[in-house]
Amino acid sequence: MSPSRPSTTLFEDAIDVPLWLETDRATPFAQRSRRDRDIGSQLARGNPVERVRGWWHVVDRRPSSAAGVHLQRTRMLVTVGMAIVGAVAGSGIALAAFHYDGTRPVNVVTLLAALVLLPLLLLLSTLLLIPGRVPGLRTIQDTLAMFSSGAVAASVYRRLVKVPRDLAPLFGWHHARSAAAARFAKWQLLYWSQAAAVSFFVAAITTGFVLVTFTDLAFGWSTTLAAEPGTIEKLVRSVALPWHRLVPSAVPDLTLIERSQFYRLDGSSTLDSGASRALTGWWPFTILAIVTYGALPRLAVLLLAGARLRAATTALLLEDPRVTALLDRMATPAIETAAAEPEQPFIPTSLRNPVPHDPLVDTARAVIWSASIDSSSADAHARKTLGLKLGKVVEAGGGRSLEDDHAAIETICNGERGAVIVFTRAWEPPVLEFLDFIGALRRALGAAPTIIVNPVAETAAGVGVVQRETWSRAIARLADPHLYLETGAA
Amino acid sequence: MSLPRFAVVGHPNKGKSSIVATLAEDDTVAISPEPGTTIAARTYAMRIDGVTLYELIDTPGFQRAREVLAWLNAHDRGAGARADVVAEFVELHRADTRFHDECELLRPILDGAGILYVVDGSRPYGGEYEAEMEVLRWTGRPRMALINLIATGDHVEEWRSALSQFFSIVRIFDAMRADFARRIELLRAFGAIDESWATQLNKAADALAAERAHRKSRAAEEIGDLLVTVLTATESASLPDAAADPGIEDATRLRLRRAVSDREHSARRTVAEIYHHAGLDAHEAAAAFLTEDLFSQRSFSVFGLSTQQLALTGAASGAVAGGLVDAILGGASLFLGAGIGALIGAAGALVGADRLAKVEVLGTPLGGFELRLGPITDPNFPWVMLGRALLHVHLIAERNHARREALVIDAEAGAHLADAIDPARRRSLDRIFRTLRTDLSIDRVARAQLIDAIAASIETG
Repeated sequence: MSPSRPSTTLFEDAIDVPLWLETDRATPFAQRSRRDRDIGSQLARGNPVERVRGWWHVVDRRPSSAAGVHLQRTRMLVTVGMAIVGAVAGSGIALAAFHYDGTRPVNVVTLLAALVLLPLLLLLSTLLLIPGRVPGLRTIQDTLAMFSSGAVAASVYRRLVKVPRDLAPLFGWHHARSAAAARFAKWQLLYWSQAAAVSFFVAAITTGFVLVTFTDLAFGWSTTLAAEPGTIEKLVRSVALPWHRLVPSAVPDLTLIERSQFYRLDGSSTLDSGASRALTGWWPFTILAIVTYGALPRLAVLLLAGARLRAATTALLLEDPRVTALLDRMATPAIETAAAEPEQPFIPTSLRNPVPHDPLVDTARAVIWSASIDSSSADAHARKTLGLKLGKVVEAGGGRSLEDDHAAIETICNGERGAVIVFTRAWEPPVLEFLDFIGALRRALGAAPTIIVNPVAETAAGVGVVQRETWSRAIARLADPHLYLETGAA
Repeated sequence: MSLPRFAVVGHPNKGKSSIVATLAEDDTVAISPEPGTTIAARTYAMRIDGVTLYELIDTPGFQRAREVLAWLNAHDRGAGARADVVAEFVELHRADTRFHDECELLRPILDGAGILYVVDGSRPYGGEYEAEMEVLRWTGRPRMALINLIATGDHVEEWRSALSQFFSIVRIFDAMRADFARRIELLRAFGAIDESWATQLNKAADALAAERAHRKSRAAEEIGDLLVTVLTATESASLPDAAADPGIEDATRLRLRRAVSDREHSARRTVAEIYHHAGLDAHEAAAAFLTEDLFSQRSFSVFGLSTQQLALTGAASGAVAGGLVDAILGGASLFLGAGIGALIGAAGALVGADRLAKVEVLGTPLGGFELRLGPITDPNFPWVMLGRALLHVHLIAERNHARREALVIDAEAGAHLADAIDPARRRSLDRIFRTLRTDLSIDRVARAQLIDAIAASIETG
């Protein structure tokens, strides 16, 4: 079976599948195994993510939590929010950095410091978070993570969605409960911060370009440091190295550098309109510097964070122990040995404790059923357990034929009077054949004579409680008022 | 090739249902000393992915075997027609309540099932069994006799002599005490009843053996995840100000304990289900040790590491860390690293033994304060959890499905169960527990190590 493309995102599934599997713990294991194996055997083998998502697509999962959709929507909202915040900040800083009121040129040094140097330092701090927790740098990494714009985004996220307790660790690097959750939190934080950063630079570059296009900007450079134009030229060439062949016009030459140096104390009057035209030559350099050292690295980190975030989301799904167990159930042949339905528990009939109320005379007749006692020791046993002497003794049951049983009944009924003791094996259950014999005996004896069923123990330990109860219930089922069970126990 | 089917037949109360429960690993099979517990034939199919490899059929016991035999003898038309006469008996008496049990047990045999005739070798042989065996012989189906041992008596040889007159294969099988290896051995032996069934039965036996090994891994994973969850569990509560509130702290502590206990119970249930003992919960109530409060002093003293082992394990882990320093310094440290590490490790283990869970009051970024309780930092806590889980899985894995009595654990013999774990494995586990306590997570490699160590401990447990 190749299920149609899931309508949910990987992130939604990474949230919802483990949550649902947690509630699914209440389903009996055998049932889960059978269900998951059935679905698993219909899915293509190979990619575990596809198998889990395929399973999720077809499993009957009512009622299902909508946490994944909710979190995904909020996640997108926060990403857009971060992009907007980044764009507003980028535009604002660009407007300030490219500010030119005609009195002094735009200071390239300030502009590059604000839009290239500082972002480069921030990028460096971001890069420190990428390799994971490095021994010796943990405190620095934790501090940087705490103050990252991504951490602010995560905080806003938690505030917006009121994340369930189980999911809260997903959006905090410090609180992650599994390596996969820690990785996810890290890359989500980085993704949000880089989304803001890329947006920042796109807005800054756009703003700069718009200002260059629609306003009259003049660029110069000024610094308190003792910098010779020659030194600045070398610096500028180094900075422009990535594009100097591609866009040679975007590399300011020494003449431009010399002409564009200014000092605030000189005032603006020294710059005539011709000089102003020449000074516009800086703008391609500044825009390309921002693109090359600001936007492109951030874009690269954003792409990396995006790819790693997807991998971390995959891990979040696949490394969850509940999902691991699911994949195991899908892959393992379902072995069933039990009956389809549990057997109804056996309910024994109520127990009757028969108490002999018939007067017993000294002598009784006896039937030894199924060689339960040696005929030579039957009398001694009857004296000991019942206080009765034995008269006529016959044998029935066991390996004897049914005709033998009838003959035994006839023999026992002829002549003597008094109670009839039926010795039987205590350890054998009272099968219907025995009860049939008792019934036939009663019919032959008539209603009045007492019949005593005496289960004989296998050992001197006597008849056990369970054996006595079993025999007692069987005798009770015959509902014979003159039929008693006597085991000789106190 | 026909499907191997086996009708488990015999006198009432001789362990037919116990044998079926053991082989089918089904603890819902009704087993009782009362005769007539099984009132209808019931099929237990062994299936792999829905494909049946063999079937066991539990049947009611013989109630009127001599009467049946008398009827058969009265209608005998010669040896070649005896199976037909049995079929006629069943057909004629199918609505006769007097022979309900006989019809139920003979029907699957007439449908082609092999015969597994069960007797109790702990009780003396009796002549009444001969009628049963003779009736079975009349069916002409392949058959095996199984001598079950319900009580402590020994009449096996007496039985063996009698059974040999009617059965070409006689085996002893103690349904109540048979371990997994014996069960598989018996299953393979069923192939001797009908050679055409041997391949199918061996395939089933191989699959069951593979599944048995897989169960251990699943149980180890469940215990590993239990440990990771409970060792990183925290609870939090909002606080009006930075001052500690004993009432809120107590309530939070109670919640944390309940969460840990609930998770432990859930893991136990899963482990029981993995070993097909889903119905064991009711019996478990009597096992005082496993129901002992997880956080009680008694639980710590029985399941955790002894103070001495705790210190030794802490010292060993510390020494390993210190040893790394020595290795880096090429021995220039005169192995002080290992020594100091051992001392710190041992001291940490002992000092930490009295505290259970870390309590912190934190300011929240958006104002207000939060009480955070946990994770549980007592160094003996993971050992208590592990000791309890190992004992439980051991009892479950070894428990025969025919047994119906409550789990019973020798209380005093079980003291400091975690001490029995192999020292090297204990050190490895200790390092993982430390990582969990400090980082609140472990990576995939450490998780695999944790599960391996647990699986190995289950094996030796």
